[in-house]
Amino acid sequence: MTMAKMAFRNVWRYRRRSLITAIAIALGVLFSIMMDAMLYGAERESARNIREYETGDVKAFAPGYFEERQFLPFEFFIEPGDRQRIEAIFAAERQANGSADDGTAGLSTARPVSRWAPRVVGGAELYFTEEFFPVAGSAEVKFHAVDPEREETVFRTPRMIEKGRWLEKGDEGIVIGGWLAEDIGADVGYMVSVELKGRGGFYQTFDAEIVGIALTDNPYVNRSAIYMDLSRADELLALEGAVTEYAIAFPPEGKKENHRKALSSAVARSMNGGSQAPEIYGWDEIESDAVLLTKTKSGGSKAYLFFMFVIAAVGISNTMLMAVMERKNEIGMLRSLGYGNGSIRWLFLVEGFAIGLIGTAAGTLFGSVIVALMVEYGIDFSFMMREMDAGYRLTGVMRSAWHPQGMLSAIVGALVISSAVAWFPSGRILKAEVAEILRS
Amino acid sequence: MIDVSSVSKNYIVGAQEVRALKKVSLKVETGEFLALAGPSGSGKTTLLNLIGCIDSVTEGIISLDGETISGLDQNKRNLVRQRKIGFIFQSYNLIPVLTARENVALALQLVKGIGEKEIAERTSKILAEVGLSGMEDRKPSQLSGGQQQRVSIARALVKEPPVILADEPTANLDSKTGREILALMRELNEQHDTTFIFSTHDPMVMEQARVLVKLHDGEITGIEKR
Repeated sequence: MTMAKMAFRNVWRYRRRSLITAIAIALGVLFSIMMDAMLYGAERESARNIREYETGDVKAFAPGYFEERQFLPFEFFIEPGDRQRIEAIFAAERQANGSADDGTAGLSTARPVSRWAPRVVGGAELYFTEEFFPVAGSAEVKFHAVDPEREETVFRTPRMIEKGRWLEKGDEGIVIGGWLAEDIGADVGYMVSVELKGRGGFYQTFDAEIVGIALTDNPYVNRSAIYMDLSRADELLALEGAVTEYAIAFPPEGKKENHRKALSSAVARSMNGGSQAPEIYGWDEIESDAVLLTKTKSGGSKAYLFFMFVIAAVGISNTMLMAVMERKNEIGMLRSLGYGNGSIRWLFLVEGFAIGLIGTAAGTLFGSVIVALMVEYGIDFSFMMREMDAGYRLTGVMRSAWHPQGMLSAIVGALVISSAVAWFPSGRILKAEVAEILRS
Repeated sequence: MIDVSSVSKNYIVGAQEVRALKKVSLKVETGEFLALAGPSGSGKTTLLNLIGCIDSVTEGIISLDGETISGLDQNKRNLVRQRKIGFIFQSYNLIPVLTARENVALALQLVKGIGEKEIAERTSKILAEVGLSGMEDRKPSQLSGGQQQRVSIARALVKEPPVILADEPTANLDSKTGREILALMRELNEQHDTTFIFSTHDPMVMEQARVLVKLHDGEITGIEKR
């Protein structure tokens, strides 16, 4: 008890030095909490924007599509027969004990897949002329042929129309991304030509009026997406009722992984040994590159924070080394009383811990205030996000998110480091004879 | 009883070996009030350190109450210091952040089987004995040099060790205070029957010793019993 009292009083005795060290720790904790919350917020929002604008929770692809997905292949289709079976599953309102004959058994909740959208996705070239645009040119785009009504059940794009309107059934117009429109100087009512590959390898070019401009939270949609009606695409591209994918959003209740497993097995069973069953992939598998990039960035930032902690640790170590050197006589006296090395090391460890505690408390407090502000207001990075692809699916304001696990790691890390580094400076002096310590 | 038998101590200073003690032999009876006298570098502090187990002998044997204490490992020497030896330092070596009471109690906290209540009682009693009643809660910075040395004496005595070693205990004090401290040590020596061994080069202090051991260049040059 007296040793702990001594340690805490020594922190106060050398208060200026303790304060400087505590500030270093506080800054380490503050930045750690702030950066972690920022990265966590960006990661979460980016994931949400992928799900809400690009993938839904899962997608069903024809076998073979997934492996080639980055090339947007136009040769793997879910055929009308398989579509019927899948949509029957989607539409089913069965309980867990639903009949097995149509493959819906095992779907654990009523309306397990209430939100789904058939789509055809591919690469296209958008041509524009001086008749409507300031300059003539072309742009590489990603076209999405969608069911205008069903698309709205899974994705937010239809609700993010900045100008004009969303697609209607049988619509001959197109909706384009907001940044793309800005880049090429497009407006609602302008005509463009779209060139894309049809089923079987032929090229199709058609003229379309821009009926809407979508400004979303997802930079990929804003930068390069165009949307057209699925039935019109079916006709133009000779799809014969086939689609390249289904995007599916699960209900919020229950674990998404369980929903996905149930859906995969229901789809497989529904094929009844006929054609190969469509494959179900999660959003994180489909956008694994984006997920990996986000995690790598997060890891890189954490490494940077680790170095900040190392710098703080060197600071504490230096403070403790000075404390040891200045208090040689006290150490010698304690040992002459019979105190062992462990007790004396404990004294410095508690002292380091106390400084760490002050720094950590201050860092956590100020870090939390900053995180609270960042959760509420965020930082507007739109000037960067508009021009560069940082990997995150964020368009502007980057908001932090509370991440208790990250905060706890920063707090525990700072306390452990500040105590642990206090252990070493006393090592050398404790190896010496007591007389030698007192003499020096 | 302390038995120092043919003890030598060599130090390495730079590239040179310095022989601080050369085959010194000495017997100290229980309850003795003994001064080690000699000029600087004569080996008196070295001999005190070796008896106090805060330094290791190069050669020879030291025993305390029949138990060999030279050549023990660090942990065993810690135990000897905890149970049998009290130290009084020239510069007091009090912990500045602790009060007089806490500084004294520090010595008792290592002794097994003593509760907080007993520590408090014994601490108050010994502080009263050394004349510091009413000053128990003062920190070293609020005490004079003489009062700090009294705290240091109380700290050495509180665990009632059979031997107290004092390295030039009056060197930092004025002559009047030094005389008072010495008188106190002598009084405590008589009351507690504790063996006091102290180093000094102050003639006034030498006069008070019942046994005066003279050292020069690491050798005992004479022993006077009064």
